[in-house]
Amino acid sequence: MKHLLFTLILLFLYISDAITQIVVPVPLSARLTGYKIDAVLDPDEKIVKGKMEAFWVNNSSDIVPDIRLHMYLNAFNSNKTTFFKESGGTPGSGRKDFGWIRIRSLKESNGTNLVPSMKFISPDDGNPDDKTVLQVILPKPALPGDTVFIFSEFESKLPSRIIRTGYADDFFFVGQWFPKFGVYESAGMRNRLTGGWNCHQFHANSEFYANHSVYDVTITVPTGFVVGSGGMTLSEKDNGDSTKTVTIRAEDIVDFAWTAWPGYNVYTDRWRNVNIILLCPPEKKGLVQRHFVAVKNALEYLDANVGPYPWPHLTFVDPPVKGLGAGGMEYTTLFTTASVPGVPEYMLSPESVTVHEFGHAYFMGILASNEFEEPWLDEGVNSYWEQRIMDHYYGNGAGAINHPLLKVSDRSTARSDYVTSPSKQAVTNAEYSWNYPHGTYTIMSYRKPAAMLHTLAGIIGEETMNEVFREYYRKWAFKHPSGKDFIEVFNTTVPRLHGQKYGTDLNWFFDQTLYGTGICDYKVINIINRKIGSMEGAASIDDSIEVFKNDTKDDSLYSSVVQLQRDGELMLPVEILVRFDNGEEVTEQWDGKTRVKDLKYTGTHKIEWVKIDPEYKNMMDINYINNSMIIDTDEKPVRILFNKLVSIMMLFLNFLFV
Amino acid sequence: MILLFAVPLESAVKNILGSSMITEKISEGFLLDVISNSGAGFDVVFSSFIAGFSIVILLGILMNNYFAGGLFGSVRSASRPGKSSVFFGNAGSNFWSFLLIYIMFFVAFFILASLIIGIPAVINWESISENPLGIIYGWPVIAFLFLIPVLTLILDYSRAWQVSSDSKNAFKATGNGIKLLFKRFFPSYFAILPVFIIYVLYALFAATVIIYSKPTNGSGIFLLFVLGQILAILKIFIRSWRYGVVTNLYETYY
Repeated sequence: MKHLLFTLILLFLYISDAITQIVVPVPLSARLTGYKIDAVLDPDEKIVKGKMEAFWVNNSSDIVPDIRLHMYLNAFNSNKTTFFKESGGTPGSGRKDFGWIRIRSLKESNGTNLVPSMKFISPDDGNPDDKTVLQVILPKPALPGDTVFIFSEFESKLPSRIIRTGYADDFFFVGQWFPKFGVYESAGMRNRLTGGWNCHQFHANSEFYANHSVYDVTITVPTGFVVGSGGMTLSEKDNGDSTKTVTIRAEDIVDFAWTAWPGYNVYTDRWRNVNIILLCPPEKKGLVQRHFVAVKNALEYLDANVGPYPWPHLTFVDPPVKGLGAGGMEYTTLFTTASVPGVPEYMLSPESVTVHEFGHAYFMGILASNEFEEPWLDEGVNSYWEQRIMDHYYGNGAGAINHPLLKVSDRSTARSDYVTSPSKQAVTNAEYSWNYPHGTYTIMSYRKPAAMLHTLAGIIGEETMNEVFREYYRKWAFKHPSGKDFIEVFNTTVPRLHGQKYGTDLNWFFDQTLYGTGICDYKVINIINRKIGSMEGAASIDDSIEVFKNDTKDDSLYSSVVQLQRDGELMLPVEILVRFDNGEEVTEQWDGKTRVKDLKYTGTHKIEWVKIDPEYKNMMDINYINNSMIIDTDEKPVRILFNKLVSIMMLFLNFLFV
Repeated sequence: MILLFAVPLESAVKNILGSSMITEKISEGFLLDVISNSGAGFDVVFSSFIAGFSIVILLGILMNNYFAGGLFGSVRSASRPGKSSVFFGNAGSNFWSFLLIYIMFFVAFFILASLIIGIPAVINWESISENPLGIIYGWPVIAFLFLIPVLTLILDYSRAWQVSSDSKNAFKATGNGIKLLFKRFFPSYFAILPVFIIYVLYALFAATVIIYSKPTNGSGIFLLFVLGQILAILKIFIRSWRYGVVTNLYETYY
């Protein structure tokens, strides 16, 4: 009885702690899982020892017999794990390099020892050497509405080869470090037919999926270490034994990671009510302002066009060069950027990484899609916004490189990857992340979906896109949207704004571009200007022209034809701009469905040039060169380019010849 | 020489682009879209460019050493200025030893650059100051900049000695070059320093012209081309001046 009473008091205290608001005024999510962890870092052994109390609420109508926990660090336990089998690498040369997570004890709230009912499973590939998913059979199945509490002691050894997580000397980036609940999906959620755990193994080409949770974490480290995390620091206490304990609270985030290193400089800034902390090594001091400007640009842009950033805190880390493997990763209210000291201002890679990784606070953090199964829904969508932000703030056409000799837009670099990929038609985006063949994960998750969304923006307009994303945010923030849910937002919002202008829905677009493997290639085949005589004596009879030829007159008539062709499988509407030699321009619309299209004109002026998609809005078109044709080719740009090239070569040779 | 491969390449690029108006993207600086849409065509152009430029560098080095022999011979006080037989006679007779001296110079140049700039940069990579170009403005680079005239003086003294000597031994010439420089180091160094200042100014001017010029019409393009040629000729004059200064020092002091 005493034991039961104690447990009930403990649970009450824990639940009351979990529902207490410290960071945000009201809960943002359903908070189906929560974690209270006391972590102690042993910097010599590279081990984090943790005591964890965690809960999962069975929010479904199912009777659930088990729980499933991600044990991500076990991916670094040998080269036989699924992670390393897929990547072809190895976690290191010896045990000291390896990473692992071991559960020392696991109990249920009533004290039942759960260790005997633990079993590693491999739901994705059946690999017996992969121990990244732990199944625990519950003594009593969880009924609908039940809350399962677990108490665990665990040890996490960090790997020496940092792939998102790990250590380098005294630098620690601690991610995917604790036993973490998978997501229990009920029937209907993300188009599931039956309920079940969604808890995938750790793959080489995959990220994560988790519930929004509350985290109460204490981290004990040696006194000289600077600690950063995705939570709000509530207190920092010197323990008097050369260690200190940092108490942290995070609310409604999908992952909790932290970093500790004595070498960090701490910089702070503020955007509206958001306190921003940047941790970076002293040698990157010159990049601090660039990072802050970038992250504030991203906050401003996403706030205006998608929805509010709801937390009052944000921490980001630019790791030292030795810890660059931790760079470029997102944990919602904590993210890591990446740069090398001395990167010149015209190269905007530090800014683009900062903008991209911050963007994941929205696409993955707030809109918590399943990165295992639909990586395009966070990486692709986020890349689209990153490119918009970079090109908006750093110059359209110069969002990646902005140098007098070379300007490259951020969206062009992404599109270039897609159009030059020999495997761009190998697979559709319906595939799970680890199943993308021929190294197409990046192309299919980042590049193609971003190009697809820019193309769609070209069709329906950027402000409509903004409105769709605002609706997506309103409807799905702090939930788990699927790709179909995302498309459904388009299908309801676009007709609401534009009626039937783009059809009853936009499935025609997504079925081709996202779930199809076709390519898009529209091209101009020819321009024909045929002189048919003078206007004098010309008469139109049933749309045909009867001509009495008189070529000596200035007001001669021309019959002009523009021949267009669709070479790719994708059928997208395109705009065509035709210019005549008197400067007159005519804009035509083509639904892009037929294989060929001829535009015919009769008048006193010849066609000078024609452009399909004159503003280069269709970023899925794999060849822009054939999109236009001009009668009198302008060779000046090529000549200027080569002149400069020759001059540069001469200058180089001048200094080579002494 | 550069034009020999640049002109066909220019034609190849024009051929790839055909009558497309994507060239407007080149003038806007959006090269990546043009390149990524050129497919295999650009790969051919790029590999041709690399191969062509490598051949130009090789031929250039040979010609440079040939003409350097002629120039060194012509700037001697004993020679009759403007006489082509003297020029070509010296060019031919000194070619191989000049080539070897030149190779030794470049080997020494790269070894010293690695030692003075490369190794400190690697060691201090993580503590390079916040100055984005800290590595370039660091003390090792300044030290190396001061060392360049020394290396060049050794090269030029070696060649000046070589031209006035009957022996065509590059190693002996280099040894004498080093010896001659350190006999009269400061007068030599300060005599050559103005030439190097002019070099730096020339380089800054040429780079600025090339980078920032944006001709918009045919005459502008032609002007840029002419300017490029003038700059090249100017460089030959500066180099001849340097040869003359060193030869004069050699004849004055030794």
